[in-house]
Amino acid sequence: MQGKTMKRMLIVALSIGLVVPAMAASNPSPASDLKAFQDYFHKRFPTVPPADFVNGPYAMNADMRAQWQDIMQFPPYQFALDSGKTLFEAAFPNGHHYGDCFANKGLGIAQNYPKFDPKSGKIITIEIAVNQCRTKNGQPPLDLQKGDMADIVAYMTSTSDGKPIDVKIPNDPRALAAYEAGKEYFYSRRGQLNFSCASCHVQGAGDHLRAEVLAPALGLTAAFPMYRSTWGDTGTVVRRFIECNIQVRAEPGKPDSTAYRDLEYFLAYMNNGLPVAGPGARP
Amino acid sequence: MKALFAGVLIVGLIGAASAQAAPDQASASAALAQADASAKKAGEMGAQWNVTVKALKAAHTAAESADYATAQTEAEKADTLAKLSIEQAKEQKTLWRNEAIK
Repeated sequence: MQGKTMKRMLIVALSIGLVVPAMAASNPSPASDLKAFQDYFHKRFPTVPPADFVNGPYAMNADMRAQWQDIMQFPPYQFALDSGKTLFEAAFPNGHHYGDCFANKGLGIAQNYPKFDPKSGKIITIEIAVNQCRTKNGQPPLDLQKGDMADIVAYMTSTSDGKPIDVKIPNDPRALAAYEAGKEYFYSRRGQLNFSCASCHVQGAGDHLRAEVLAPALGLTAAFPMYRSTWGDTGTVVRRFIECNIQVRAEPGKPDSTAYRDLEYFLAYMNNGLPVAGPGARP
Repeated sequence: MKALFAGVLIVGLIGAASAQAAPDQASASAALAQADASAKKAGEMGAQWNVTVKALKAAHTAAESADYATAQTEAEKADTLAKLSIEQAKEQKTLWRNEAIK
């Protein structure tokens, strides 16, 4: 009898021992992820000053950095920035402005995006917030990838230049689920080439892919919107997500898809503490 | 002996070739239906590859112009690609954690 009881106790103890670590492994912990993520890149690239990760490939390669510094004497996104300021300051037909939809009149707030919206339970990127503002003021939404949207957000982001990124994950299971979904997306291999975002921007960070130097995942979203020479104009981060998907031969999602919102949420949170560096310029 | 061997080989080759029927409207339609179903499933899983979509489109275009051989080949290609993408997505449901920075 005593032997049987002992056996049962042992089985129960063993089960608890197995279940608790499994639960710990599946519970999302953004704060510990953030520390591990940033530590990984700091250890791997010990000569790169932490704030310099926002400069992507230019932090990894001296030749590219020298070229970039020359290019930045006349920033290629300047036209977008000027157009964005004009568009941002123009009144809607009802007399309201973009600034009326945002805290601090929309200036110096880009470091707080994307945000979790407790009302809808979804992630709101700064581009989606701009479109919500337009809809609220009777205007049609803009293309989330380029054109006027990229210009407006480039201007808004420029007013946050140098401010530390501060993306919040509130203690709401839906926010945590969005964060975890973004993390899963980032590390999941997709497309016929079987690449994840991490394949290039974690494992391949700093390596060459043909003539390109792969940017590290740390700081990856800090310089958006950005002028890319391959685009020949300025685009938003979701434009780059779509391009990456196509490059690995995956069918891209819709620009406002939950998957891209969650991915941006995860990546932006990983940048917490780094300075806003948008708009940026890349090859 | 040599002639007999050559004869057997020729007969064998002809037999093998004729065993696989030439694609017709019915076989191409069946292949297209199968590919459509697999691609739909991949899409619903968020696992679609753009090469699948391209092959499927090529298959439908060929079928519309009564080129059943191309339609069947492209449909079978799309079906294989869709199934591979589904398999990839299923595996990644757990494998992604191995790539995560800890």
